[in-house]
Amino acid sequence: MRSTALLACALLALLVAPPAQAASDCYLRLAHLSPDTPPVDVTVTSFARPDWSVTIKGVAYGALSGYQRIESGTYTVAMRPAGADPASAPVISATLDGETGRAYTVAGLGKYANLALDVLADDITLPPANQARVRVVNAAPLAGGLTVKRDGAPLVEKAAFGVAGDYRLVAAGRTVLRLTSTQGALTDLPVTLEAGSVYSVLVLEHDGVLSAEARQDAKGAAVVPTGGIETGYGGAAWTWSPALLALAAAAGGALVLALRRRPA
Amino acid sequence: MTFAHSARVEQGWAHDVAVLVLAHDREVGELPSVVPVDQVFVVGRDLDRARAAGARVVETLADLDRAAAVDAGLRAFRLAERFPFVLVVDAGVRIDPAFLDHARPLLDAAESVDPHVVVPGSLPARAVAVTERLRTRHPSLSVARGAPPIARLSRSAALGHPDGLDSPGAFSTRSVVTADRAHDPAWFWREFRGGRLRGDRVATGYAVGRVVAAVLMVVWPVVVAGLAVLDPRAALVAVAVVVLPDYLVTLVVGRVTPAALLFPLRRVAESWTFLRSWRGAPPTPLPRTWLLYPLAAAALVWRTATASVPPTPTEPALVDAAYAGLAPDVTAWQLRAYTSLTDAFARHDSTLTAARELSAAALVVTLLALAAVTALLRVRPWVTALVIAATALGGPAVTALAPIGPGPLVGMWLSLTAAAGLAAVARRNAVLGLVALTTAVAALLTAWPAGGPTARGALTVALVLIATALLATARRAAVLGPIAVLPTLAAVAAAWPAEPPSVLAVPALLAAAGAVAVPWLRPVVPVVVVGALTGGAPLVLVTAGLVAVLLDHLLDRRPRARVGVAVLALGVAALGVVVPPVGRPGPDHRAIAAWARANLPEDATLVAPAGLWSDLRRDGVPVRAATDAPGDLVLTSAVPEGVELARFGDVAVVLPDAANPYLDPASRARAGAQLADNTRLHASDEVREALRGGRVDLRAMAVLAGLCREHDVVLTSTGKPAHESTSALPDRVLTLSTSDSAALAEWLRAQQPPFAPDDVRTTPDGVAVGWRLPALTGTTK
Repeated sequence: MRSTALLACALLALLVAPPAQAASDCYLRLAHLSPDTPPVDVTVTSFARPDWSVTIKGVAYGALSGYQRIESGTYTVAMRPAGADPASAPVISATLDGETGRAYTVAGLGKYANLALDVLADDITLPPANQARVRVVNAAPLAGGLTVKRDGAPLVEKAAFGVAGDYRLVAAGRTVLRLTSTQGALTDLPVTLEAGSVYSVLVLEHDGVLSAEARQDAKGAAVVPTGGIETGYGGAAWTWSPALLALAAAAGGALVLALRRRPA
Repeated sequence: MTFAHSARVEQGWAHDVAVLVLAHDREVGELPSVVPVDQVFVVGRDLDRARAAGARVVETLADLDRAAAVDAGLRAFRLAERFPFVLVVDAGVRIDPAFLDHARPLLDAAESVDPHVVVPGSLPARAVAVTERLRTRHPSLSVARGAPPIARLSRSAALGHPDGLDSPGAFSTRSVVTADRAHDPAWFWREFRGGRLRGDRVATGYAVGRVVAAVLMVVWPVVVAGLAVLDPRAALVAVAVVVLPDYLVTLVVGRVTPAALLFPLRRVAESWTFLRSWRGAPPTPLPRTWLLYPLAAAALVWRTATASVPPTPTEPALVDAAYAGLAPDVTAWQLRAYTSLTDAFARHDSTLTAARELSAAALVVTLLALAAVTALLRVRPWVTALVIAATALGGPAVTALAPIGPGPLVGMWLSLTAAAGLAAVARRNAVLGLVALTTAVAALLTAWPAGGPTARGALTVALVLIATALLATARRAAVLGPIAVLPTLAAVAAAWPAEPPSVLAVPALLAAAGAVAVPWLRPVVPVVVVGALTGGAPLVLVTAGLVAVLLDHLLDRRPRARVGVAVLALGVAALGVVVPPVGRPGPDHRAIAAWARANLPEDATLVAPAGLWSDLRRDGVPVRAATDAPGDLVLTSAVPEGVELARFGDVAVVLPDAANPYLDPASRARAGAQLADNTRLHASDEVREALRGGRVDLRAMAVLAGLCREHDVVLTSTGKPAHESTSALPDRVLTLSTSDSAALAEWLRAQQPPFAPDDVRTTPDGVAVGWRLPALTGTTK
């Protein structure tokens, strides 16, 4: 009997699940860009709702999650070593003041000794026609002051380690980004920049070797879909707004009452 | 042991005196020779030798105590009926041949300062009195036997009177004079150098003790003065250590009188006299009128050292320079040298009071030199003391003397110049003349580079006054006029009209008016008038000296004007009391330092104004002088340009960048409104209102939000340090509790900056959690 009631509640809840993009939502993703920092579990907790949080487990260097839609509001971002006891005390590392319609990247930048979680405001607005928006995040300490050129023209000059640069508008199309480190090391990154898209070029370092990859932050008017994020506390890959929760609870309660009144 | 009586009796009143020798348990040695032998009577046992020497004796079967022996002698020989005076001596006493000549006048006087006669209240006299009492009441005590014997001259009519022999503690009344040659310094040193005090252990101990006591008493005022500079409480202890036991002894042997509290001062003078007679020089006792001088001087020094006078415009920079080890001018160099030698900056509550210690020390030297000047000019010391006392009561005078600067130092050097110069002229001593020249150069070097018209004007005044005194002593006052012209013009040019005249000008101008009546002081008048327009410490000292000279001159003309002089001095003092020193507490640098240490980021640097800079630096606060660079966090007493973060009386900590994001409550209000709705946060409406109003630090709210994810949290209150109560800074002290306090403590310990609290303590209301201010400026990252 009880299982039947719960199942009914769950079905009802699914029926009233929120639309893909609510009007009061913002987007959040996480990036591990500290080369000597071990993998961490990151937990994002709402100021207003202690029972709502998202935990991203085992984020390792170079990982950049997909965007997760969350209700706009203020959050704490806390870390634990990957695999740590969930009951252990997390270390609060940042706060996020999420505004509706905005996107953010919570990134662990710099070296482990001075690790800080920075909240990067991502510009996912639609670029002008036939243009793309690109920024460079230098997460390779060996690179030093990093210079990125496109077709010989500098796109970014002397990007410091542990710093996310500003977005630049570039012409869309297939091209090669040439990255030059302070030591003179060169890395070529062939990319296709789609018109209307937003990219983050991550410059990484693995065993002393520079590498780069371009991640598409947004395409057209939509952010790139989520992926790779696990939810905690019964988690929520989507937003549970209080009104919907109340509606679901009321419907579930009504269903339970109806089932109880039926003769056995 | 020989019996003898050498008839050295002089003509005079000796025929009126009978000598009664109390043999007690001693052998009678040389009979007193101050009277003919037929006037010598002996009471005791086994007196054959005395009888053989010609004395009249009464033998007793047993040793009698003192009173009984005297009574037996008086009765047996009817001395009271036969002689107007009776001199009672212990066997073995050697009476100075001049004793009777000295003692006769004393029978008509209540006190004596004659070194041949024991002075009432003096240390030897009271020691004798104590042992005398012991001897009388406890004859068997060795201490009584070992004490120096004494002699007493009494009117016969007084025998039996309470002040007579039955009252051992009553010394030097109108009827009784006690004497002991052993207390004659000249005799003592003769015996000491001749080694005649070594044979008897008691005598040797007595001699050594007396010398040591005299040295200690002479050193005592110096020790007290030194301790007064280092630690006033220790100085009080040093005073009490001497005064209280001394007073107790007085109570034992004499009458209860408050005046006895001043006896130690007299003992200092007696000890000095005693030690000076080491070389056989005739001791010249210090006139009692000098006793007032150290009291008045101490009062002035105390008033000056304890006056809470606001800093002068030049003081803060001078103090900072000395603390930093800089010496931009001679005054700063002297201050730096003094504070280095005495470690003054480490001993005082503020660097300003530490620096002002030099001002007080300079005043001590000045007053010592003024004492010498008083003696050399033969001014009545009590008159000078009265003027100094009046100066001590005068608020404006103390206000001028207390601050450190060129003034007190110039006053010190010039007073030394005057004392050494006068002594050089009086004694025709070239070395003293060289000292005078050196100190005059020091005064010039101190005052002139300071550049202030006050110092230059006052220097001119003082130099002319000193020259006047010197020349007057040399009887060449006629040349004073031409000499005074040039400095007067220089003083007018330097002083006018840089500073408005102060109330100090009134006594200075009155003194100048009075100086017109004294021919040899007339050339000084115009210069004093100019000095009156400049003010400063030298003017105070010059005025005081001039007034003392004038009053003394008045007393020369009219000796009966004592009361008038005293009334005049008290009147001036009363005027000074009406205008007390302007006291204003300085910035509470310790509170500022405590706040900075507890609330600023560890690498934050405050920019402090002059004066406060050295205090905060000494307190261990990273601080920069305002002149070094534009400040980020500025301490200022002016109207703040920027945002006030904390206030300490007249001084505020100001953040010039009013647009600093940390001060914007908007983002805090958004976060706070959400946190106030958190179902696991339990708080009063007042606390929730603070959260919604953006009045709580965002780091504190982040920690609360994190805690609420895992615990139910009771937030009792939010607050901030008291000195920030009027500022726009958010609350960053939370008082909270959870059901598991151990888990709460562990949770808080796990946090890292900037969210890790800087202060966690348990209070009756819960756990108080506080954060420092975040980095607000470029220099506080």
